[in-house]
Amino acid sequence: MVTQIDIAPVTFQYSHTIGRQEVRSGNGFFNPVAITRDENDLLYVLSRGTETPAFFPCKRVTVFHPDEEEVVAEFGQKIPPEDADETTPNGAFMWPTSVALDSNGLAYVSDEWLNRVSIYDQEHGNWVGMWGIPGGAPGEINRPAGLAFDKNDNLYMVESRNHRVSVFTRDGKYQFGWGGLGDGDGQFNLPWGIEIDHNGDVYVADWRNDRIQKFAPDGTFLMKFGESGDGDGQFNRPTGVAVDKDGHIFVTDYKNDRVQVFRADGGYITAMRGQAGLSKWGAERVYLDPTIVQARDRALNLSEREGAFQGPIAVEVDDDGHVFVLECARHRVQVFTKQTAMFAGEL
Amino acid sequence: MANDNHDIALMAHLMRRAGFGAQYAELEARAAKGYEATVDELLNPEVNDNGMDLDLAERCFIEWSHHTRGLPEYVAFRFINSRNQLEEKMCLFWHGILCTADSKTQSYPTSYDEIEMFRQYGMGSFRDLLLEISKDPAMIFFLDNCLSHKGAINENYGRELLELFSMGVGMDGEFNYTEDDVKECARAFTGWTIANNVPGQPYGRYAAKFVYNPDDHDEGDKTFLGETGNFNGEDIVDIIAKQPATARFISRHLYSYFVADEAQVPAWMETPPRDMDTIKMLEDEYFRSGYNIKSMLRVLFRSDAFKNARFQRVKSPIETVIGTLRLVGDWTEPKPGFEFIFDEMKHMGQEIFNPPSVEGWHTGREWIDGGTLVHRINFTADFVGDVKQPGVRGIVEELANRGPVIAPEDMVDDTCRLLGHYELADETRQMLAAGMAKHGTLHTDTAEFADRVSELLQMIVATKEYIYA
Repeated sequence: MVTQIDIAPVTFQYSHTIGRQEVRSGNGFFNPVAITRDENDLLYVLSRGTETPAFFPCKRVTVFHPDEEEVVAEFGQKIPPEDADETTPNGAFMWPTSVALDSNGLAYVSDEWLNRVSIYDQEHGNWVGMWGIPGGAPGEINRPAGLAFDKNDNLYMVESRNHRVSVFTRDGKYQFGWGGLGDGDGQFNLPWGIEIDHNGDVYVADWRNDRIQKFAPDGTFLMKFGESGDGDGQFNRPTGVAVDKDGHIFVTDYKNDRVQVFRADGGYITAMRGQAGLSKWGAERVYLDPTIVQARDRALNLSEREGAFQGPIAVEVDDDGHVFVLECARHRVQVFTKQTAMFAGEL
Repeated sequence: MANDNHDIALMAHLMRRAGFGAQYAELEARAAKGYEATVDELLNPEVNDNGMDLDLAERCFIEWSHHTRGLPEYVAFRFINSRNQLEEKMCLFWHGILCTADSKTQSYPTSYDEIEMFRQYGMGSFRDLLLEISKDPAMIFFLDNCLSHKGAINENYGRELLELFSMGVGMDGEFNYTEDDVKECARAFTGWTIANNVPGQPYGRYAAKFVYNPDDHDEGDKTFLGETGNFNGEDIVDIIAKQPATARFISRHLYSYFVADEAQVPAWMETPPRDMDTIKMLEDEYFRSGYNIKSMLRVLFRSDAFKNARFQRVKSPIETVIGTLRLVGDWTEPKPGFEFIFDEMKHMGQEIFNPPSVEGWHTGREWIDGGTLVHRINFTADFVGDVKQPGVRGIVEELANRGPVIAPEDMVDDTCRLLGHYELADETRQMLAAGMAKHGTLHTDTAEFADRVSELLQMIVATKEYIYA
């Protein structure tokens, strides 16, 4: 009898942590909400920041290498809330929600207050364009949240207040969409994150319905899993979803402070709770001040308290088994490596 | 109609005091439900939906995640939008008495835990609340109990627990406790401390945690308020809770917050209560109910003293800002620009999470000086003068429903009614009516009518009468 590979044990080895609270620019993030990666394995983290005027430019996309932990680019611009309207300057953010990359490496950032998508080039992060018409009709957008490109450069956009998924060309031409408010199959309640797997199937974090829904590329409903709660396979406001090449599904269970891992059929495998240590960028800050070093030495249960996920909001995976968990409340990325059995038979 | 108006006026009074005010439609609905039923609803938030999309607000204001930032705005959002208004008002009540300040604690996650503790215990047993505040990490740090050790006490918490949190310096001209009681109290709370916390760098603030260190607790006998034993902090709280001075102290605070402005706390030893009968009624309920705050509030809200005490309190800055936003219907949904609300309160003299000292804010007429008064009126006038605000539009429509023409005096009277049955002095009323009469016949079906209403609202909120709740 051959054991199915997808029910083989799956565990995760903590690798390292990237980031620190950085209220302006540089080696860190500030209330990050989205993460993606490009073909060169660079990570893009979107910081939502704050309105506080002193913290500038806290709303930004930080591009960095996850191993070398070097920032290679930063883009985006914060504007004061009183200027956040149709006259907002090109390239500025108010409430940015997601970042996605097309096949040319252009970065698309959704803004749920301005109801638009801003586009930046890869090399310098220069603003190169934007699109988006607010509204509820097909092709109009209302509070865009998650973004994901398919292999043909179609942009799948979650619209939280229209409770639907809309698909656009990368220059903003509407293709098709599905959804609507409700808790039936194919309906949503304030959806957030989105993922497209290797087969082109679409996964949506159906936020207030506390579930994940899976669709064919054309929007045909395929399956769902999850319900409200804090038990195995239950969610309290899932925000992000990622699927690796083995079909394993990772969900940031935001208010339960964990990442849950599921088989391709939605069966529960395990939950990750976080193991963060001191990051390279964090150490840069800590070792500037001996009193912080001493405070860390004295702190009760430092590794347990500091290590735990707080506000895990988005997750990204690569084909090498790396899992990148972005934490909003702790301004960092925890990196794990998936460990699966290499055999597929009985002992 | 007369009875309806009386009921709605009483409801407006209740909601200004037990909450942050309400729009006229809510007052009508609550009046129809009944005064007693509304009091019961307000007193039992645990069984009533607060009506807030708090998860959605936390999604929009993402920095509220784990309350590492934005706590004043979070609290203000709850004040504005919670249907359980008394629950929120009691959080503010205890925050103004059992004071800590972020200027020293510098930890919003810890302050958040404190506010949630007030929410949980604020309408329960005062004895339990005193025990919880004695374990509250923000308080332990703020009043240095973490620096108080066996054999080397720091009296700060012990002193304020007696002076400002439970008994007061004196009552009816007599001191309530001695300096020795303060020292013995401090000895009993040795070992009540906080764990060394995870520092705010590099990943942001963490909530501090209470720990009891038995090795640092003074196990010797203490004599406190005439009783002797190997007291720990819990024993001290038990002794404090049963003191007549404690009943008086809490009763005066409740009276001052909900009924009418009292003298400032430092004057209470020599200054008798403004209404001794009501204070005595509250003191009796304190002991009868086993120190239960909810029972005291129920007695208070049902009393004639409360019902007849309209417009005898100066609104605090927080009541002014939150009440105005509730009146005009702004900030019912998250949107950018929320930080300004916190700034407005601060400019009027009440910075939430930063009371000026452990004594809290001085209240009543002390809220008002030249600068804060101007700021208060300008803020309020700006909002009620904005006819795009849904609450203001509602007032315009209500007035227009009276007919195609409205007399100036009727317009003033009706506008005051729609604001919550405000009562103007005759001279003020005539002056405002004269101001409206200058515009000639007031046609309610014209585009200019909204401007007239806006103008009148701005004049009303600038009156002396509108300063009071």
